[in-house]
Amino acid sequence: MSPQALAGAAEASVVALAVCGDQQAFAELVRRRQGMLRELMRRLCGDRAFAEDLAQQAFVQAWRQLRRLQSPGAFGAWLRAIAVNVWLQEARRAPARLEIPEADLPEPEPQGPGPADLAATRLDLSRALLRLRAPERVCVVLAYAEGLSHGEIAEATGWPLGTVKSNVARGAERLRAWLSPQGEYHE
Amino acid sequence: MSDPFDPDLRRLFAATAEHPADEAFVAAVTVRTSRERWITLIARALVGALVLAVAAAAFGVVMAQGVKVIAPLLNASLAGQATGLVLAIAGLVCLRLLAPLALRRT
Repeated sequence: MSPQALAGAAEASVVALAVCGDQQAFAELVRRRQGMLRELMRRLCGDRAFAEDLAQQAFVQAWRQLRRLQSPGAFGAWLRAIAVNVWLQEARRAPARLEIPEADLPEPEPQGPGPADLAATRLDLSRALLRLRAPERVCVVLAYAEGLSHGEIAEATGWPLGTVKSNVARGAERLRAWLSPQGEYHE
Repeated sequence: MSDPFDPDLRRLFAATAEHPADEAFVAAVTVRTSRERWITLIARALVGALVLAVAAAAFGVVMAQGVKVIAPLLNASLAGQATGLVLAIAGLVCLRLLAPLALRRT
């Protein structure tokens, strides 16, 4: 199939081609899903370059395991679960790289109104996320950035539902406490 | 059903979302998956070669043992020659039956 035809094809068809080893089809899947995956990794890592590397690793793992994908329609959720797993493995392997001690974090700048503050708000949220423990961070990001339900997070992480709920609640509470005094949290 | 998540935090995450799209990223992943594909092909070829080598060695041993049994029979008598011939044909039939299975595995 030509790149133009691939670009217009339904994702399930592109996934089916990629499962058969079609590299162009897989490149099309990368093209479609890179935004989601890189954004997820950026939220989780804080460091942009490291996030890019982990996002690439997640895609490479997906390529390796593509034959195990049961349903082509579930590609997005399956890919996200692989990405979460890649990040959690990294968090276990080199926790220092993903968790920054609070003392090393600068205080967030007070925010004023206006679009120019978006970059600063993004930075503050990123710093606040880095303060969370790995399980809290992944649960909060999946809930608030990816819009997943508790059940979907439990599926993506493989953790019990109760653990997910408490991680989301605790993480959100800590984020609120950290962001509220600076004024960028409540509108 | 009510939303169990904090709407203010949800808004904050939505407002700070980025959706990067970059062909260089796609190219980088493609390079890594191509490399991966080559490594897999080479690994499979090596495993295949190893299996063939082991199979060839086993075949050599079997042939050597078979000749030890069959050769004296061929020199003994007419009945011995017939027995030797039957054993040789049986060996060939076994090879014919087993070869596709072995090839399918590699």
